[in-house]
Amino acid sequence: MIKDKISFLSSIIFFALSAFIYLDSSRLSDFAAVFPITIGTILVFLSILLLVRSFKFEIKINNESVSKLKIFLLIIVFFGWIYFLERSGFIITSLIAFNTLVLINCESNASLKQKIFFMMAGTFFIVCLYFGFKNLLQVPLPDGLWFRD
Amino acid sequence: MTSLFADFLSSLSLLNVSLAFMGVLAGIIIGALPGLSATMAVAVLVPFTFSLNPSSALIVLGAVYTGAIFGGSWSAILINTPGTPSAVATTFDGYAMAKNGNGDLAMSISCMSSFVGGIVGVICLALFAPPLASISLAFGPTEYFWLAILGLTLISTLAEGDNIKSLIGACFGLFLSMIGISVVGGDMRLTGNISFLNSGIEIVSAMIGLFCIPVILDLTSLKGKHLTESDAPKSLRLVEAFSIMFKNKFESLKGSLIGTFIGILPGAGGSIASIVSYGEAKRTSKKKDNFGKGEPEGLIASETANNATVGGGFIPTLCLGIPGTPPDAVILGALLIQGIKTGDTLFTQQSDIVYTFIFGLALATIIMLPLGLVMGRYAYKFIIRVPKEILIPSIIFLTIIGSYSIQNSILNVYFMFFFGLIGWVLNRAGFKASPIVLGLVLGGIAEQGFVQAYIIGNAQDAILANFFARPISAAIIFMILIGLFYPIFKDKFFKKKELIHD
Repeated sequence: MIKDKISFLSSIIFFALSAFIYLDSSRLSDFAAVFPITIGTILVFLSILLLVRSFKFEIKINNESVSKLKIFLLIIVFFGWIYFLERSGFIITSLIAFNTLVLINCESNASLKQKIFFMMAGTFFIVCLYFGFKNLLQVPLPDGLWFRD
Repeated sequence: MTSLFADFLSSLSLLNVSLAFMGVLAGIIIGALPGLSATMAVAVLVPFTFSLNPSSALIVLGAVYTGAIFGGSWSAILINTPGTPSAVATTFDGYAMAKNGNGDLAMSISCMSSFVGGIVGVICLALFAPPLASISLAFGPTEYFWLAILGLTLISTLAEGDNIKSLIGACFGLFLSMIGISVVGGDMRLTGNISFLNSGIEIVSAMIGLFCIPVILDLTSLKGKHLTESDAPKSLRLVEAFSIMFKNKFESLKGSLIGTFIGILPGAGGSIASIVSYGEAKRTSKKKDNFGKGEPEGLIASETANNATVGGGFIPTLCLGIPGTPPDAVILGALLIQGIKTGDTLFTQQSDIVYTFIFGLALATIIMLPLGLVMGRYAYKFIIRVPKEILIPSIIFLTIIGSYSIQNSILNVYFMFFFGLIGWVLNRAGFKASPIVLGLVLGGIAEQGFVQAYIIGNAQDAILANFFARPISAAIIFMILIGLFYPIFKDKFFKKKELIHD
């Protein structure tokens, strides 16, 4: 009977990873394969230990409860921010994504005035950093594919 | 002696003091931004130094480097994201201190520790540069391999109660470090035929993701402030910080010497120095159970060591022309442009430039102390007061811009995002980020050292002797064994003593 489902699942995943390491190493030259095979072997051994332990007892993990909806929205916006960064440009993407995240993270009792203040502060922060990076640190931030000549 | 005094006075000219001040200021700000490394800070400022005289140019570059290494601790303490790779070990106790309401104390201790480490490094550079430089040449692949293993033994100290998961995490980090072109042999491996993995995993972007994204995702659900505000009155908590530093004076010195020594080794750098120093501090500490939970001693060990690498790294750079750390390589380039020839004759033929630079470096470290304390206090107060609604998008923004600016590549931003999600899932499954990052950072050095040592040993028909019988290797192996087994023997010995007493 499995007593620690997370450890059981983890051990299976790391078994699979070890198998991938072994499989990939089989076509490599000796010098390139020696380290991956060593690590793969240690990983198999540790996965067995974790698997055996998962049947014997459970080590409790103290995770804080999370708001699944908020995290889901944050991940979507985060990904969108990266995806559109080079396409629609740094300034536009960042302003939209930043302010969307401000709205997602606003407490339900936040007033409209507060929300507007947060968004204005964020906009100021983005614009300052954009020019700081571009002009002082010489880091060329994407202008956007759609806006190129 | 008169010449030395003249060099000292030369370093104290108004121009040099102003340049050191501005360099430290710029360095702290750049270093505090996740993803912007000390190397980048120095590289960005190199063109501005072309019009300066050689010693002033070196002073400003040294000041930027010193400031950036220290600045890296700020984001490590305040948002659990090392600003520079050398601040990895600072997150272990620095962020925990901030979460416990001691963020201001952590900022002050970090500044004082960086000052101590920086000064010890500079003193070693001034007094022992040529003999220490020759030691760095005695380090071959075998020694690098064992040094990386010494760093990896820290995993047992980061275990936080689940050794198996920590070791698996470290193996996962080592696996990540192997993706791409193999360091010896040049084979393409573990990429799964995904072309963008060919160049391997960019360490800094993976590190930002693994450390920072889990904090952001957990913060989204958190009610109230992200850091507990200090109960202490409005001050820098200087007396408290100084008292902690004084109590840990030997640990500070030990961390500084470890940092200087590892800084001397080309390619090792501040990240290994701080990791090894942290591990040693925990092994020998009476409060080892508090490590990882906000123990100032851990923070001192990490910060003294990483700033000591600044002075240490200049030893092989100036004496041998071999850069100790990546920023040293950039500074070496600037030296060559200025017409300074590095090598053993530098300290005799161009001693005026070298000693003015060394005094300038000391000056920059001294300037860093008040500047860092005051700025750190305001940075802490600012972060504490920023509402979560702005803080979360701001941190995400910094992670994106930071990982993008490493190579001006969107790929690194995807890596950061992807590793952030993996890190969050693994974190909730009980796998902490620290062992993964440790494996990722040390994997390349360990593998290169191991394979090269194997090839050399094989050619000499003495593989085992090459691994175990070289004097420095044997000393490092001895340290590894002591680190691994001393706590077990000590526990058994003391338990027996207690039983006899009872």
